[in-house]
Amino acid sequence: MKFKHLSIILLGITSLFTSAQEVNTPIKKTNFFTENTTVQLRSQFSIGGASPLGLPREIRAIKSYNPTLQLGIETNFTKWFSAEHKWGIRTGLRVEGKGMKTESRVKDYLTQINYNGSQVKGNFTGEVRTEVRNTYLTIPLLATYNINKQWGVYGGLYFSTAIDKAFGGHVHNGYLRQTNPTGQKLIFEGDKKAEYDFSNEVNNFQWGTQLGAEWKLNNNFLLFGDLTYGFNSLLDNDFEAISFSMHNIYLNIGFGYQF
Amino acid sequence: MRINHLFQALVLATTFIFTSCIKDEAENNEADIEMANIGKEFLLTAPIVSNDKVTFRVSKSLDLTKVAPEFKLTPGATIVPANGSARDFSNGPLTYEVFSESKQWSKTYKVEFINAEISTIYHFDKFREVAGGFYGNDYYHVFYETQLDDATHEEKELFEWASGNIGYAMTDGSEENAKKPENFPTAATTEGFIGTGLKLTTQSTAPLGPIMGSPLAAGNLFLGEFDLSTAVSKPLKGTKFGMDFNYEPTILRGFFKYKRGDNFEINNTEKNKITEDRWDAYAILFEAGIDDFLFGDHDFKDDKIVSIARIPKELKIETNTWTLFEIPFEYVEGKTYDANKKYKLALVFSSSEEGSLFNGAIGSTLYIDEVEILKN
Repeated sequence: MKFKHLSIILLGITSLFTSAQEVNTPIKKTNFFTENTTVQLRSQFSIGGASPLGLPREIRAIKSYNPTLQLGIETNFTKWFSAEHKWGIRTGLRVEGKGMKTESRVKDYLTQINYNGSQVKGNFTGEVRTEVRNTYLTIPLLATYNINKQWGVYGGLYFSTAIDKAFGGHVHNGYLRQTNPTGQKLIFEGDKKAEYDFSNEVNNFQWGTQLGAEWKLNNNFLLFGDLTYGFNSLLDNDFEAISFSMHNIYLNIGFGYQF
Repeated sequence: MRINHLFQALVLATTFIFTSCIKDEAENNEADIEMANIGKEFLLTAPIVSNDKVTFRVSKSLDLTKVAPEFKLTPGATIVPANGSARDFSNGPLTYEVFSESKQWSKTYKVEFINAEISTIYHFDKFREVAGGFYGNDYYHVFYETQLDDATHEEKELFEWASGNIGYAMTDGSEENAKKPENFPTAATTEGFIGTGLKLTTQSTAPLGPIMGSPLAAGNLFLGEFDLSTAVSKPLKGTKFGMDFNYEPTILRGFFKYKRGDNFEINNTEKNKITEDRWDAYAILFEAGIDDFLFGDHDFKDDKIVSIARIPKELKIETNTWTLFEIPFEYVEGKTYDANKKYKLALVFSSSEEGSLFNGAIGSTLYIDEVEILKN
């Protein structure tokens, strides 16, 4: 279902570009959108996570980490300032998944669990499983520079809006102190676990920086890798049940086709 | 294949980066009394330690004007007055304050010493209203028993009855839907046989209990301790039956009324033995050191059990008039009462016999009053 939406959006974008070209081509004038421009179609997979900047003291160990399969697809448009295609600016539209699964051991970790339907805030010591799976619609705004025929680098900002949000997991093998570290102790052991779901607290808007490089195999095909780092917190700032702010940090690797 | 390796390397690298940033462990924020102790020779049963109260049940030979209890605290925590300070507990409970290792948090404990043996006549006339639940706005009844103090001629609290009410308070997901004492499985009723009495009702835990594996809650009352922190994961291990009792009991006697609910729900077919709901009450004398208890899953089969008085099924009937039950204690084969040994008594009342299996009929209501344990 999600993929269906995705492909419709992409089709729409591609046809937009195509129709723009069709309209513009007959008017044989120097045109901003046709002269010294390139269009790319890219697909990527992302590895990274929602992470605090520097792990807080509450996190005692990362027991497992799974980047999960996070895919993205992008079409972009580059306007070069000269016929040599040295410097240019690039924008586009990207649909991308950002997510991960982790299992960590925490001590005195402020959280909010679902216990028999009650949202219970407290300090948990034990094991926490976290699963993040967000889908974003992203517009990059980048400066591009071609070092030589094969290598190009780019960097700038990106702006995202979340179109599908999931941030949740469960706590187990430990205990919760209700309200604060001196509150009633509730032990979760054996099969007993308590779930949490912060999906509604995921920020709809994300912005950050993107830096990367691309390597052209030939005139059309290219490989690329870039890093994205979110400036604003993944979860709403006024959400108090987690005591530190988390940021989207991802390495994206993929290939593209340049028209 | 190579992509696969690259991917694994990336995962490893990412994990390593995260792991290498693990900071030094913070100082503890908890401020608990984990265990409490005085000389073992004075203890009648293991001290009951809850989140903010410690109860020592001790023998009369302990001089309460000068007791120096020892507390095992959360690692790094400190206590005021200091561990082992002698204090005068003869005038009632005293408070202690525990400070966390980090000094960020502290907690006040009430510490009490009770040096009277438990009574053997129970009127169910004394109860208090206690706030509970996650939002602190649910109120339920806690029964306790008192005795006239010989020296001061004042009513002195002997012990508190345990029930599952504190756990039931946590089956409600809504802050708006505050529960009143009469909504709880265990409550006091003004329609007792004499004065107030005990009313036990099998209640639904819907809408949220079923998801958590406890679709109903039978009303219960027992001698012992309901350990909420354990009951979260192991409901039957959270009910600890037994209080120090050093007589030879002969008869369990009292009055009851019973109305069974309409639909008998069987959630545990494996151990189910009955086809319609019925009430239950029993007393078990068992040999027990200070740390020994019977738990909710004893099934009358524990080696420690010496004698049992249990309502026979002929008496587990519906009646709307107060009806007497008078049940003799029967010895388990090969067991006798030995005045030189230490014993505990488990006394349990339940509105649904198979309530611990979550088999019962919602609405089943048991009234109990004026219970007595006759002894030699």
